Amino acid sequence: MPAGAAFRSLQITMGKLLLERLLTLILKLFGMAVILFVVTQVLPADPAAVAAGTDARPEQIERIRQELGLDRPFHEQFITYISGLARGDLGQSLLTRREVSDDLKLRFPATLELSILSAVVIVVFGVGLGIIAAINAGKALDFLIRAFVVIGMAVPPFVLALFLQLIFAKGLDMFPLEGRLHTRMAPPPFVTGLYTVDSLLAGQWELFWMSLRHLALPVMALALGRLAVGARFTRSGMLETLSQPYVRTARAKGLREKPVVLRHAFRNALIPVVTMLGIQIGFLLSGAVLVEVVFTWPGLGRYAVESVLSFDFYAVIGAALVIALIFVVSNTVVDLLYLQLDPRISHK
Amino acid sequence: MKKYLRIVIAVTLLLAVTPASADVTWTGAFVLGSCCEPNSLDPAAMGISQTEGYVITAMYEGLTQYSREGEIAPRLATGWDISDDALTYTLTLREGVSFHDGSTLDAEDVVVSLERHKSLGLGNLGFILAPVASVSATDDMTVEIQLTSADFQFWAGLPHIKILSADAIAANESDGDMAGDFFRENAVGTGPYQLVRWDPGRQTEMSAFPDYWGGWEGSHVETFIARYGLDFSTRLLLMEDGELHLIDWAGLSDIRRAETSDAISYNLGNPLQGFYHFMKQDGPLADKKVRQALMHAYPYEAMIEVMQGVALPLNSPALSGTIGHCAVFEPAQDMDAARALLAESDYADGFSLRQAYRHANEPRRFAAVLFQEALAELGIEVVLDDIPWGTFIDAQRNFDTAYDMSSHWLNIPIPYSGEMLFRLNHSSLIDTGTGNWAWYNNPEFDALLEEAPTLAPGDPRIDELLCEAQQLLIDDAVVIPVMLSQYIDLTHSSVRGYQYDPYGFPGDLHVHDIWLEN
Repeated sequence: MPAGAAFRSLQITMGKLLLERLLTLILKLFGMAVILFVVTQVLPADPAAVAAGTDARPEQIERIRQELGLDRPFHEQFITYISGLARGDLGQSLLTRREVSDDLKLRFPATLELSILSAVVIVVFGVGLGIIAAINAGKALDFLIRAFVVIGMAVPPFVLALFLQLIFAKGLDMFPLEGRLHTRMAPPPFVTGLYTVDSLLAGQWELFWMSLRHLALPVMALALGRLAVGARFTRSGMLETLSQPYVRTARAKGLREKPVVLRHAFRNALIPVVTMLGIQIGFLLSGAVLVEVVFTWPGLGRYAVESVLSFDFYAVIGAALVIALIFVVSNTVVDLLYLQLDPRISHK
Repeated sequence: MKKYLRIVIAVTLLLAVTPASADVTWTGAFVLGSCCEPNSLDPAAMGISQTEGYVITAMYEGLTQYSREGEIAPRLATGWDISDDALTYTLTLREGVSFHDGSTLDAEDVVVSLERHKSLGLGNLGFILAPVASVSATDDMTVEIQLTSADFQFWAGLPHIKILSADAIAANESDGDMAGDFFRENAVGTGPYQLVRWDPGRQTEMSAFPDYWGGWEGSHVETFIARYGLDFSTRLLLMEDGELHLIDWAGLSDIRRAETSDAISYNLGNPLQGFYHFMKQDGPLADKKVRQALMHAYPYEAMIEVMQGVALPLNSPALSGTIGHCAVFEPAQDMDAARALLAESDYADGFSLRQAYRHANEPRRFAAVLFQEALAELGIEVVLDDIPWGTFIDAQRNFDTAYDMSSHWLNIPIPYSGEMLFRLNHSSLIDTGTGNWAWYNNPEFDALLEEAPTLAPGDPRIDELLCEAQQLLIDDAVVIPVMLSQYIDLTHSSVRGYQYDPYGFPGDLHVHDIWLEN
């Protein structure tokens, strides 16, 4: 097939895939919202009492129940919520009384910023270490990387977070202990909610530097374990492709090692690596709850946990829908990358 | 000449931006590592067991306040007159008080604030204004409050009702919401600190209000920051580094940490908070002898010991130091007396009970396990359920699903025994899930509680009536007063002027009195 026709075919396949995913995404989110709504309603709990506080009097609880519409029959509440959802209205937090979408607008960028930087670290260092280990298979360097991988996978991120705090913040005083910014610093004017980006847009260089420094330890805590998984997948994928006949052929033709590894072997080893990275990044974005707790990171994960503990049902559903959306989007991106990496998939 | 002019202008500008006082020493930012974030900054939404009080009381003031001795003292009102029938309260307002928006306090601000609080009723302090029939301005600086019936709790609770700027309410009203949306995230009070910014999920920052009527002589902090969501270990690490100055609601284990640190010390306070064990009058517990046996079997001393010196025994269902308290009970475990009472009952061969205690709370768990062990010696099996508040209250609304026994902290916002006794066992709370988990229904007890607050403040009959009510609860053995668990907070060694104020509950820090050394 000529190159132009192949490219057009790839574009059409990608378009179809996107359309299909978009339609299923809507159905999935709707289905999830329905299930979550029903589950939260049948739970043996009284959200109005929680919203009123532990020392509230009965009349206050009843007042809140009425204000929040929790006294209405289940089907009425359901219809109101679902019709609101269709208009993009995620409802009102029972606890903060703010719109859930406003709360998510504040919380999600914190998680997004942390996740994007962690993803970059995972891709660059995870894949890099995997390649280095594969081309040095059986040597001391390979052994060292594999040891690092085992340790990285074995240590839970929140334990690592505590160690990092003790060593790099308390011991060496290299990085801040917690938070997105120093207590005395005001956040940059809100544009994206990503402090690094917003501080750059506002030309606040000191703020940019401070927000980067605050990101260092949580990113390390979050990325290290997943980076190890990335290195392991890349190493095994690379070892398999490096033993393929076409790699031997490339070497026999006199190609230098670098293009053999990067152009011939690495590209073909990428598919399982991309699958793994897609899943990992989905997990990152869905909120590394414990890392957010340890570093006082006001992100989506912490918001979801706080909402669950306080029976803030609409906030729980809102957070869950955002997390579901992230997973579907990251999986779609992975599928599109498959098509790009291996055009044979589009023909299938 | 130009040089001097520049210096004069520079000094003038500096003075203009610095809170006014020639003798003030600013000592930096006071940072609180708070357990809990406010859901709202609106004083009308303030609860009595949440930490929003720390922030709100720095920015807002009431007409009156509690002195350190628990007496009602002037704040925005300088004087008052209470009619003989205790139905009319006339208050004279302080002159020269400014709000953070620049307006000046007058009677209209008080009328609008009180009416707003009563109408919105968002928080759980609404009961304080429930007996108010009308609020009117008799002149610019005098307010008259008329009650529908005499109610002592109104006067005792008035310090917790904060005054807002009427101008700000009018300017920010939308769709008749009495500026509810605005005040949820903004603050316009008369307090010593004014809101700079609230970053939800992160912190609230307040700065010294230059025109504060109380003045700024001496040493003060120029900024007050309340930080939220900090993990326990992170709070301690930050305090050791001097980045936090106060940690609220610390735990027992934090005391050990404070004892080994030069930078941290711990403080104990006696809040208006008691820990109680309720017995639902059903099955074996419908028998008074069984309930009395359980009261004898309660491991009071062991519980205080487990609390490692940060709890005090209770000698009444009411808290000592509150109006109307009297000692009616000796908290001592007596297993022989318990066995004798059980033997006299129809349940001498043992039985089984279900007990709930609130999720994730060390003292509650200790109490439940200790009592379970003590009752096992009497042949009584106790099945424990560790459940969250929302689930608990849902179960406790219904007699059939309610637990046989439950243990709770109860807080009261006013130093008045009647309020605690009401929360413990008034019959109006039956089937509401919010109190009286013993399902105690005694018209005599209810009548005592209802009559006491109708008497004028200071009437000695208040003590008599409430004392009788306390005795009834002990005689009927429906609730076990376990202990007064002390409030623990941690302060950094640089903090000066801080003193826990039990009457300022919910959470008056008196930041104006605090300063930092070095």
